[in-house]
Amino acid sequence: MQKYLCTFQLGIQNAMEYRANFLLSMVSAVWPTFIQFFLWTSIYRGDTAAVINGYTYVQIIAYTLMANIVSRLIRTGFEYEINEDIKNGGLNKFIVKPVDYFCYKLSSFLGQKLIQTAFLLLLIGGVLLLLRLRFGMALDLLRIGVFFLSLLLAFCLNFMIFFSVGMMAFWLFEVGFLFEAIRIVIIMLSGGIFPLDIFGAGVSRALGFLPFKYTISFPVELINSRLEPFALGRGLLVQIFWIILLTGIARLLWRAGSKRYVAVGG
Amino acid sequence: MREALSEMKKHGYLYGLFLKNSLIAQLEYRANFITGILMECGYLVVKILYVVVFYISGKTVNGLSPDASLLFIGTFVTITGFYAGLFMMNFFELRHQINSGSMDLLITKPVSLQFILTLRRADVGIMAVDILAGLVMVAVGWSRLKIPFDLVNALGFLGFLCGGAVVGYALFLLPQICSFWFIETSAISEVTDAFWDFNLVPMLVYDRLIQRIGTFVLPIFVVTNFPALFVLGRMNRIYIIWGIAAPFLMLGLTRLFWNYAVRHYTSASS
Repeated sequence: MQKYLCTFQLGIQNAMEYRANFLLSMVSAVWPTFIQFFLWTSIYRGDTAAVINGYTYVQIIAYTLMANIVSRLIRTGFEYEINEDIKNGGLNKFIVKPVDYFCYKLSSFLGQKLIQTAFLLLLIGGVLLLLRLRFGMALDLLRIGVFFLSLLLAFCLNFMIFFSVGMMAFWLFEVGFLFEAIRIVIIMLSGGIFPLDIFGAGVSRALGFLPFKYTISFPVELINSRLEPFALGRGLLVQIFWIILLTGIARLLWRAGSKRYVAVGG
Repeated sequence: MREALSEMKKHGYLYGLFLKNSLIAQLEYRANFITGILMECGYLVVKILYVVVFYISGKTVNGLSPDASLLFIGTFVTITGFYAGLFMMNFFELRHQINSGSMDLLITKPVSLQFILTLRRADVGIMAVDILAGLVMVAVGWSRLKIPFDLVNALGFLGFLCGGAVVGYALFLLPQICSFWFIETSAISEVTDAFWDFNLVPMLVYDRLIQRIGTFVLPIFVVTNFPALFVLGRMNRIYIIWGIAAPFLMLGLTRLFWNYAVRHYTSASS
């Protein structure tokens, strides 16, 4: 346990090192929200009571703000590190040392995300306050509590998804921009850009059978009051189900991949 | 006059060679080439989602029908092809070239330094994806709007398209020139890169004040909005004059700043 705690602390220090970079990445994350805010405002212009594609103006603004923050909150980046480790022989040290790679990556990731997460959670609190006071959205404490629980599960789920994506590097000769292409598609299917309803009812329902929706769309729709209590409870269970299933898949991939692994380099 | 003409011919010939070399180099690293195209397709689908939003809402936004929005976003995709395919990579590498001192060798070549530094590399795959998809979107929007395809419209569209690409080149090169003074400018790239996406939606979506600033102060909207505005007949005289003048002005400004920066260049190595 001690060793993973150290990794966690190293992760924090790592994140602290590039502070300017962190701040600027936050600034560039504001643009999409800004663009989408103007887009929706101009579409609903003068008619804030209108319901377009199932959303009122307040709901779509809440969705835009929240989805952008949540997708930033759960975002990973370690799939490139995994690829590096596999391609350049970084895994060697895990073969000879009593350190589990999965736990190592998890604790390092948690450390790296800690400060950003704290910052984003504060931001979410601010947005919730804004929605309540400025837009008069109905929010009770129970719903907010369940929302944060679903965020935690979404965070774990997304970690598992991208850890499995990273495992692909065992089989691919060269990764190139593949991870970036996969990331864009996953964000889209998670509802990180627009609500999933814009894909149409059929596709939207089909996406319910994949794990991606439960990382962004589900928590955001939850706070948006667009889910009934039943759907809400079911969603949480589906999140847990996918986390367990993907953990199993990642383990299998890891075991199969390790057999293929050729220790390159020193 | 004849000298200028032969200089231009030489640079044109060289540019052909640059493109060819880039393509050959890319085909050598095939995984990068193919996954690069995949990535660009992903970005393209995101842009198409914005079009879908306009169609689903079915509303006329500030006088723009969904078809008109398709025309705007198609133009944006086309010009993104020029920017991402021909300029972007060179701009991001500029910093590296200056810091590592590999620019010194290029200074001695008998061609324009700005030309060789900012146009040498190209990504033909990414460019092809965007330009092809963009032009299809423009063609569909154009025909659904029943805009007559005559000489004035075609030339106007093409002219402002090229002008937009030039303004894009100049506007996004300007912050990168700071690399002559600062060592770490990767942060600048990240912010300007996100800035490009302001054109993801037609400029008419924004507030009037933002429209003014984005047209005349920081001419980001000039990059992709004017071709569509022109064929929709929504350009007043000031816009037309500015649309013609801006590429020359911006290019001149970039050129001045570039020369100023090069004069203050002190070699990195040795």
